[in-house]
Amino acid sequence: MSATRDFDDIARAWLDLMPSEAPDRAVDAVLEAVSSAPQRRGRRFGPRRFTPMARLGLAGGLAAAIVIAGALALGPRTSPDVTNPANSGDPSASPSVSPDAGRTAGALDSALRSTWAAFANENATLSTGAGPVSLVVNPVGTSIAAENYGPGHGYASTASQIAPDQVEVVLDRDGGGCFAGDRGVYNVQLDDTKGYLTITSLSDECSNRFLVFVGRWVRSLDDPSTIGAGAITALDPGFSIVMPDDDYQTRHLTDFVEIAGTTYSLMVHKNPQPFADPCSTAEERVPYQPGAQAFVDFFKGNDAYDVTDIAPLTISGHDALHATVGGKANYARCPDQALYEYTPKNCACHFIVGPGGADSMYLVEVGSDTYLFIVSPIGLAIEREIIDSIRIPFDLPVQ
Amino acid sequence: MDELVEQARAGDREAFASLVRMTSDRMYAIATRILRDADLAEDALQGALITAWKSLPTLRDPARFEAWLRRLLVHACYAEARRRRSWTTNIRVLPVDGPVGPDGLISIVERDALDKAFARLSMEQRAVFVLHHHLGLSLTEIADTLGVPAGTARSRLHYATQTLRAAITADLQPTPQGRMA
Repeated sequence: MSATRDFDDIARAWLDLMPSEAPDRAVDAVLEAVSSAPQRRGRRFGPRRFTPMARLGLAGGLAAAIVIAGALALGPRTSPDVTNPANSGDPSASPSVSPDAGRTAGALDSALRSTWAAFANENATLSTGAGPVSLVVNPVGTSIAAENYGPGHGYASTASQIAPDQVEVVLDRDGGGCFAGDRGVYNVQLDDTKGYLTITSLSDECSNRFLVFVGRWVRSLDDPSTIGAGAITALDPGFSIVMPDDDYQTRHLTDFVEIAGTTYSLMVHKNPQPFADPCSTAEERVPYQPGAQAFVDFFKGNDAYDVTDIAPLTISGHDALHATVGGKANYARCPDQALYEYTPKNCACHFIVGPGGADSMYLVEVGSDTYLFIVSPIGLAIEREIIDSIRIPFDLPVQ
Repeated sequence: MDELVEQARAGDREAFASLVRMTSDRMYAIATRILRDADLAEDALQGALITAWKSLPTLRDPARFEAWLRRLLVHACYAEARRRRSWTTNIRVLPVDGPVGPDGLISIVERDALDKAFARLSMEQRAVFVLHHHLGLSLTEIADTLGVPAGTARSRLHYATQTLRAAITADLQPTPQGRMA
């Protein structure tokens, strides 16, 4: 038996010492959570208000669509490469390349594969009221569909990249005043951060799809993303941020989000409230006191913690406070145990810090709310760069 | 399983519950081995399964469900480790009852040496090591599961193996001071 073989056997035997049966409570908790959790089908936003016109039926919508289509003077179907200056979108976006340059059909560029968010105004043609909407490019970059535009107005389409800044979309099925196979060609431009996407139409046989797709969108970091620039709208108010690109998944709890990458992560807590006893799992809270200073003062006055690096600063134009809060490594009352630190006021959850661990906390006063941002791991050279990129409150781009 | 995945993807909670029951032990086993902490592993398992439910509509190939779930789980392990990162240097070793190892293959000294050395590995190295030695996945399968290049998986496994092997070797060698005392 070789030395390598010996090691493999030892490694396997060592790994086999660990338990392999999931506790029932863990499985039960998952099933309970799933019983009320919706799947992500682009329904992150609440239902939009649809105008009474929706009840007028398809004929009215179709007629309006035809009128709009004529008014927009879209390029002829046989000439999809004619640009439409009227829809040139964001002036800060980089210039278009020739539609024929580098034309190679394939999956959409990886930077486009995200969920994109915007605020759509009331639209009589689509019979929709004003509200947040989203545009979902699937993870493999082969389909695109709008969400929250109302029944039949998602315009789910097969998508392909036909040039570095152009995508072709082909409608998957009849609906919303259009027909399966309707083809459109759009210009797509990302801003420098890759957090914003501007879509302009070059041509579309489905004029209603044009109304839905065209506009300025922000990358939703509430959904999985490989790009670190975008916005969180699950918190109210939301915020935008620019982080290094990574493979991000976002977790949501009440008044808490964690944008977790493989290298970096950002935790955001709204209105954090300390636990009274860091050694107790009962999670009794101290009475909530708003404001960054009150939060920091609690930890300064608690001998379980070391509080250093306190400094006032300004983040996104708001008063803010930085502090490094660490759990003492040998806290006498509960040595070698995690310290129960705080929770967002409205969350039934807890955040702990291990003995000797520390967090670099950025507390920001946003109106009557206090936001706590933590970038991890602690000590990143780009920590301040990430924090300084935060814009809060954040308004969705309006279509 | 593919049929259950299809049903769950369409929003069938009962089908998803069946998938959870079918896979939770295997997933928990992976998480405990990567994190070496029962509580963290439980949290990672829950996080991964809930994310799986929410994101199932984005899974295109039902046959890849378990590999996809493993990837979510490993990412959940990374997140748990980060969230309670100070524990990575103060790992609580799970209690071991009964025989030290199957067929007495591993001694207490080796176990302790491996525990300590494993605590020094990064989460990424641990994940590759566990997927290879516990699940028996090839480097290509590991790379596919983790979404990293095969070369990256290979180097992580190499480093982890080297570290753990060195730890056993070192611990089995009598140190002059220790033996002389």
